Amino acid sequence: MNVHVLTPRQLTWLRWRWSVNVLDGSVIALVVLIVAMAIIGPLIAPDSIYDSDILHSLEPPSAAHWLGTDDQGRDVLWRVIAGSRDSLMSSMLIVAGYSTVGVLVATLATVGGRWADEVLMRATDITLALPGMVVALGFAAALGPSLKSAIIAMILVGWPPTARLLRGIMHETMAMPYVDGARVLGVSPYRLMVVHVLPNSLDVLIVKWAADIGFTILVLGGLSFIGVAAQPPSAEWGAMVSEAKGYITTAWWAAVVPGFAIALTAAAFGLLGDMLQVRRNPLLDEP
Amino acid sequence: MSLLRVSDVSRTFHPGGKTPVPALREVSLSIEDGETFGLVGESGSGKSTLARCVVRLEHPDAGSIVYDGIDVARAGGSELSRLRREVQMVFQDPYASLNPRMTVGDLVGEGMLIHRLERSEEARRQRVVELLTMVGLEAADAKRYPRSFSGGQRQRIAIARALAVRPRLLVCDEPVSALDVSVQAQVINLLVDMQAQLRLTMLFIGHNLAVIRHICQRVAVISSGQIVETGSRDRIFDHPQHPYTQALLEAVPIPDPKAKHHGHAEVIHANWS
Amino acid sequence: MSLLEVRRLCVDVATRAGQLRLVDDFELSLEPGDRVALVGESGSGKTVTARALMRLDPHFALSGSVRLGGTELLALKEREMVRVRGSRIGMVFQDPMDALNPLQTIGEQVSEPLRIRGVPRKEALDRARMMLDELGVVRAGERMQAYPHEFSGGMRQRVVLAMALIAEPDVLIADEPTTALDVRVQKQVLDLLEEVAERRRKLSVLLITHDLAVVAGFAQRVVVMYAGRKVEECSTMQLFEHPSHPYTAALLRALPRIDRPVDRLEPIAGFPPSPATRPAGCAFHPRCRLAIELCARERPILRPCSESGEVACHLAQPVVQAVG
Repeated sequence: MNVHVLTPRQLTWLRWRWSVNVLDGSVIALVVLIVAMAIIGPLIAPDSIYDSDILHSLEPPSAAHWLGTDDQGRDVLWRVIAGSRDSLMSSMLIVAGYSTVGVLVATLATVGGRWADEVLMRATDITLALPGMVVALGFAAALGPSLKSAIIAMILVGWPPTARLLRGIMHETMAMPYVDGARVLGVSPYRLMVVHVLPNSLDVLIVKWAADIGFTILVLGGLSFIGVAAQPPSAEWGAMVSEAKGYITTAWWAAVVPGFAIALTAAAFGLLGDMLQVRRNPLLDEP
Repeated sequence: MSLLRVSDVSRTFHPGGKTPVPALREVSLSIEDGETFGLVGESGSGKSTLARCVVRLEHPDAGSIVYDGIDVARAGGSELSRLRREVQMVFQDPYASLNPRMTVGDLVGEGMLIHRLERSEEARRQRVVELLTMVGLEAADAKRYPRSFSGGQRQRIAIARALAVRPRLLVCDEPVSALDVSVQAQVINLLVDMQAQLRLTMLFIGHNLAVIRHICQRVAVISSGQIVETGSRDRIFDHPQHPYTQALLEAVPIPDPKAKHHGHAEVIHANWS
Repeated sequence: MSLLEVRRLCVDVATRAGQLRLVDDFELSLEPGDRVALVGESGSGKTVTARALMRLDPHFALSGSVRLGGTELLALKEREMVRVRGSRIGMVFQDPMDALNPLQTIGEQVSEPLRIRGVPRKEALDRARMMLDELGVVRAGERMQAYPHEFSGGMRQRVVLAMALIAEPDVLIADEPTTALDVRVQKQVLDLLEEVAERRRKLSVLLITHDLAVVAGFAQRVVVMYAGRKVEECSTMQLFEHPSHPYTAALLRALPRIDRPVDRLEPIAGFPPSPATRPAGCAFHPRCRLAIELCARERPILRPCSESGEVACHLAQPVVQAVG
């Protein structure tokens, strides 16, 4: 039996090291790849992805077009790569947007006293009851269908779970002795929030963000598919699937490839969220 | 005049839907400048609630708490600022009383920062090192996070943090109860030393009678929200008058197999100081 | 042969860095009627050891030998071990609520150890009532219908004690039964344990605690653990009057005492190590005033140091046993 007595340095190093097992490693690698693609993809993709080239429409995968072409003759692979920005970045923007709103609401509810808490939590409940898709459709009707209106709609509808979650956590954090200690020291309410409460309450959100991005990509893709979000000739994946849906039996690659991209990205981020959740488990923390 | 005067303080909790709980019932005590005052009670006695009222984490429903002429509950503006500097607290749980995301240096220096006690960041840093050394830690510890430290060390950090603003009254709420025995003595000695060196007044709250006896000069015994007895340490421990005090003292186990445990009158006396 | 015989017991846990040894080479003998205290601070391994005797933690790897009345407990299959727990060894924990089901009545829970062993329900409940009565629960019959939350802390301890004793075990392990209790309730619990030990002369009691004062009032023999190992064992009287191990002696000097007030306490510098950061050689040497160079290099083994005591320290004078 191997017995190790760990020196304090070794213990610290262990705490920081990711123990890379295959699944964890590949999830991280995948997420990094996708994000890299979203950042540099549009910069390196040829302009031709937005031009029509009817002569070469619906060509199956070949040496010239690795994943074939769509009904407008545009290269599917390059469009997927370039479109990752619209899909992924928009999702991230949505999650960032509603998280900010949620954090603000939760903070106000926590510092504002019983009355503010009541009012804001009821507003949260009401917004939570709204059906997201319907609101998105409404925005599409009012502002004209576009990626922008879909993003706004999803932010407006998506903040309640964050607000609720964070409010609960902030209340717990506020009961901690170190917050009491800060109050006794004379720390201002602003500093109390910013230095003591928020940093200790937000790490739950980080886990949520990963999973949320995955889910949001799906929803956004869906909205684009029905035409209320990204519009052609956008290479947003949902829009790509929408445009290619009529040719699924003849040129399946035009629809399946972007569809697969959506699914894979959603899965990768979802798994990342799971992984972060597990790692947050304080098995290595001090008693 | 007393440094701290608590007069007829009452506080009742109203837990949702259930009967109200009177945590404090017309509690009065006074603490003189420079003394160490012990407040002894069991759990639920109200001692922690009183501590929280003294440091203004909570407000009494009735009665008053006056610190050096300032009405604690009503203080505002510069009076409140002075209160926040001069009255500090050390908490019981060393694992929950330090913000895990702040470095030790930031924690110890925070009071100085917000009260603008030092002229520059450099001066503040130096004073942090001074304080750390004073409590038995090292200058290099300022860059580390609380999680690298043991319970006893964290209490030292908490004490340094409290002392950084040069308080006059230090409220200690069971500061050693959560520590190992071999470490308790370290922190007790530290508090005693700090008190002597800095001429602090201390309100020491606890349930461990041996510790209270060691540190405090005057003692009040609290039970179910009421002070049942107050007096000098020797008077309380040698000649307890109230049946509750007597019952408490009788119940304290003695680390001596020859001592009779039932009845404190039979304990072995060595040297009453 | 002793009632309970523990030899070279080691408890290991698997971590990312390999196996971590929590308890190393622990040995103990218990006779019927013994009252032994197992004393230590954080990281000493005392609770892990006590739990290992009942094999309560399946994720800890146990090696060595634990023989109860001749049966090797470490070799039993889990379903056989289940029969041992409760009927041959009983245990009470620090927090009674750890052992009490909030959704079951007291009567159900106290009678359960009997019912699961085939005792008919009515008889089991009767015996439960008698047990509670014996332990000082007034109107036991009525209170059997109550739920744990309706009882005070001291009462709950009586209930879990009843549960532990009802199937008449040979050994009772009490894991920090007085820690976190108010001093008056603590006294009640200790008095109760005292009564139980008096009434059941054949019962061996192993009391796990960090409180030396509690030890003084209850135990005949004391085992002191530090950093996962036994460092001293002797009679209670001996321990308090002439402790052999520097750690024990220092611990006694560091205690604030209500009966012997001092001007200044004598602390032990440093702090008890966690299992992962135990010093080489004698685990106490960094904190020991008497440490010599040998102490940092070589781990001391337990050696007899008086009539019935043993100590693990390079500086203790071993007692040479007369041969023949």
